[in-house]
Amino acid sequence: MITLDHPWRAAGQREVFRHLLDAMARPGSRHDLSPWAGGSALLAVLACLVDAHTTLHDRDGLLSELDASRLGAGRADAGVARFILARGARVPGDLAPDRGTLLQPERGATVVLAVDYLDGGAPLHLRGPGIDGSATMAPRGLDPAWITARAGWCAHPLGVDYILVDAGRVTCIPRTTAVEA
Amino acid sequence: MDPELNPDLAAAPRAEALAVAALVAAGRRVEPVTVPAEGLWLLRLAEPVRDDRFFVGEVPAAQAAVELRDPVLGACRGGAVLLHGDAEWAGALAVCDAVARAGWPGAHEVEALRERGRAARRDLARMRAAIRERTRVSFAELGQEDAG
Repeated sequence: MITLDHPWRAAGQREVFRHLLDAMARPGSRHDLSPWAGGSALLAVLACLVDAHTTLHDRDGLLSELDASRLGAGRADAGVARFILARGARVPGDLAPDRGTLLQPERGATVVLAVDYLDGGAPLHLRGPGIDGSATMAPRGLDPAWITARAGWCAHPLGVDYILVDAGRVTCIPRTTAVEA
Repeated sequence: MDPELNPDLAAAPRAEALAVAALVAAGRRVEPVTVPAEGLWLLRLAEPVRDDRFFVGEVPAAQAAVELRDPVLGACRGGAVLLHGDAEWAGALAVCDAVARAGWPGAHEVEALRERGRAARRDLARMRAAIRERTRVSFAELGQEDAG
């Protein structure tokens, strides 16, 4: 009677999680989530990571009321939310996500950024753990201010992790990655 | 979720609940408002003297919330919580809850299901009362035995 399609099926969410782990372990690598995304890789990532035990700040109103209800996450201000959802093309402005503390660095927020496309934009050069030498990514629809802001937020072990999502793919920039334009 | 309706519906037989839900959902779209969940819930009780809270154990449970969309009548919402690890059953009860609360066509069938659940609860209450009756202690008689 109640039928749930992707991205709400547990089997698909396990696949998405596997790809997110790979994407975090190899910063800048692109992963296709479209088989389990149900048309929205952004929603697939959130359905995989967010539940009633987490908090979410949807800065740009990217979620419909129904999707937000299905996720079940508590709404929270950007400064305390575990997950922040924002449009990459819009500058972070005065956004101040939780960077964690020295005793609890894992409390640093995860920022999920919706971009137009993971290729075709200005190149970003990545270095750090999980990267053999250097890697390049060129997301289109990511304001450079996000990279500048991130540099101020991340000071090992504190910081925030970025997950960049386009219509069907995902890539990650964990806090340990150094990014140069 | 109607807190008075839910226990009655949950006490009705599973197969009948699924059948009634399928009947009242026919021709309507059922959208889950939350992802139906099943699993174990920690049962928390309060100790009566000092009101200390403690976890007595885990119970299997399921919950669902749905929105029903009817081409003519519009939309209505319902929910259910069930002390069984069965999300499909909880989903069916949520559909019944939505129809009953909105008073849509099909509410009579749900009311009949509720009546069967009520009867099942009454039977269970009678059975439990009979078990308790066998353990009743007459302190007056105990006192007489002690005196003798």
